[in-house]
Amino acid sequence: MNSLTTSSTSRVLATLNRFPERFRLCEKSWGVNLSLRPMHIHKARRFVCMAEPYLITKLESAENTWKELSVKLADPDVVSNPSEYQKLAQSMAELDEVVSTFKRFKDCEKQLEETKALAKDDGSDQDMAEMIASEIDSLSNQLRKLEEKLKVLLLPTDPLDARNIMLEVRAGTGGDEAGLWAGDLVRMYQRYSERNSWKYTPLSSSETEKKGGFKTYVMEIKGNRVYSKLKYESGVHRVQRVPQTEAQGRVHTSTATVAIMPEADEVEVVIDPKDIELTTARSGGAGGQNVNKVETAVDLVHKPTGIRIFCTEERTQLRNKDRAFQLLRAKLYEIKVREQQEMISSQRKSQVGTGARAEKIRTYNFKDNRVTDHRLKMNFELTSFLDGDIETAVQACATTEQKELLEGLVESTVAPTG
Amino acid sequence: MSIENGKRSVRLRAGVEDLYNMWKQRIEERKPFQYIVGCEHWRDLVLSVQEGVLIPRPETELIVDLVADVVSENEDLREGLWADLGTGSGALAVGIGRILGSRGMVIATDLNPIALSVAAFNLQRYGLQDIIELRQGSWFEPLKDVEGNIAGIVSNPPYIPSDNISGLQAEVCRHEPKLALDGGLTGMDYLFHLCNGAASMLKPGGLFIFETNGEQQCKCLIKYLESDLRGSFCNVDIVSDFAGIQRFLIGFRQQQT
Repeated sequence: MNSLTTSSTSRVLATLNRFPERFRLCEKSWGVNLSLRPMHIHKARRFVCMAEPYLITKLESAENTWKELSVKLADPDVVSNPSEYQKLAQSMAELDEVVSTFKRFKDCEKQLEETKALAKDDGSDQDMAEMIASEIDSLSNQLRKLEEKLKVLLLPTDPLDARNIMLEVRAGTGGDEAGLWAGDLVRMYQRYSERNSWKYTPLSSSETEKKGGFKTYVMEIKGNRVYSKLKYESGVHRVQRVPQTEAQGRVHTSTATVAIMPEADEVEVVIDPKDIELTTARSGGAGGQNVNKVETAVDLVHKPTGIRIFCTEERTQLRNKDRAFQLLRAKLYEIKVREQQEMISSQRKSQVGTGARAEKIRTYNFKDNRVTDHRLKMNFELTSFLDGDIETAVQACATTEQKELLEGLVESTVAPTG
Repeated sequence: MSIENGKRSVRLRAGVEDLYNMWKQRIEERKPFQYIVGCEHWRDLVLSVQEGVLIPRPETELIVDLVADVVSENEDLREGLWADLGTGSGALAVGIGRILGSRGMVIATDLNPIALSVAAFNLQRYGLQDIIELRQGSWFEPLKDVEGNIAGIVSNPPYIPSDNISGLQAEVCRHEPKLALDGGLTGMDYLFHLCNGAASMLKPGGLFIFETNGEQQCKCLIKYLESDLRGSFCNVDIVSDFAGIQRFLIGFRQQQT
């Protein structure tokens, strides 16, 4: 990365030379000696090259790619090949916003430089100086905003964001109380879905003895960009309250685990029929015309991974079979995606992203009417939260993830690769 | 009729007294649930059923999938004439009618006029009047005019040995039609009959799928095909249902050389 440091140093040195009187004094050290400055120069303390070096590298590379693409798109050979043309045109379109924002950034930078040069020359007139100073101020702000925007634009987007999902809630240890807690979580997500005008469909569930409780519950949620919002819900949700079953009023702690599985494209997960064992729940007997029993449950086992899905939600074998396969595909896809993500982000640990299943992400305390999110280190009001009002938490997670991804971006460019 | 319970009211399809009587029938007389509500969920369909018609079994759903697999690779069969023999409620006819699409045709036969009226209701409910034709009669009798031209025959014929019937689950032996269950001494009377008929009724390359009472019957039929009907069929196979029982016999009419 020597080339990077050199280029940034040379840019700064070049800048130094443009302001000979003020800054030559500190060529020897990076520290800025404030006491030598007149008041209004504090605002122009930072050097013109405000953007961090890694950012500039990426932006210039994006710009070069964009230029190359536009040259290629003018090539008659490419024009005559519609699929190639479309591919290149799409890549170029994706870079359009980055490149145009970068242009605006560079223009803004130039304007700022010129204004600063003006400030240096017109030191005498007080009114003029004030105007220039405020101009410098607003340009600097604009530059900062553009820089932030560029950083976000350079972030890789999660390709799964637009997908529908299957949401699974599993009661942890704690018997009936854990089951009731799982049920409460299910209702919370159902209400959140209603607020977002998403449609939810229960797929399978297994109830506990206490009514309203579930050992497991799986539902499908369809709508606009469901995964992008619910992906932060994966993990262990812990509750502290006095259970309904508790006679003496003691507070218990139970847990439930939530898993979010993005819907799989049918093409991406290949299930070899030889890997499947599909049986019905009937426990032996002659079957067929011999009996009339309403038993349509289907038991699906995927041998290579050992995933077993027992589906009872539908009223016929065919529909249960289809549901079971749908759920299997989603699980296999989740595994595949998780493998890929683990490979890529083995150096980056994003707390807020698709967290490990065993991670405790939230504690819900009924006595204090408070939900604590451990990743965000933030608290929320419990009653409205459980009523489906989790949007603030979701947005906070999204922002935190973005921040972490940005930091990761820096590391990956600046740190020595290897 | 509605019941008011505080703010909520529950709407019922039948009066409480009627419901009670139906429940009594269910519990005391072991009347099948499907006869009481008058319908049965089967595959992705809801079929009307009543006393006098066999309640379609979950196992039989698989026959439609087997047909789908075969016609997906064989356009010729998809556009041909199919037969559902002993159609009962019309379950198989409707099931395969929906996958054959517009160019296929199905003739569904049954001896029992009650069955035919129920089948008529069901096929109309699914808009298949132009694809499915109903004919009354015994097995291949009503199909003499299409002998040798049939692309596929499916059937869930009675296959219970006569002596076993009284020992079956009460819902079955007390309420479902014996006509649809009793297959004679070994249970195989009609299965043999169907095999014989298929040999002449199917066109070359035509498919048959029959549901049976299990491994013993399937193996016995295969022996029969290889001895008495040698040369008539090829690619004969046994397919198991999801409970692991060897339930279905499947095969193709030999192509003429």
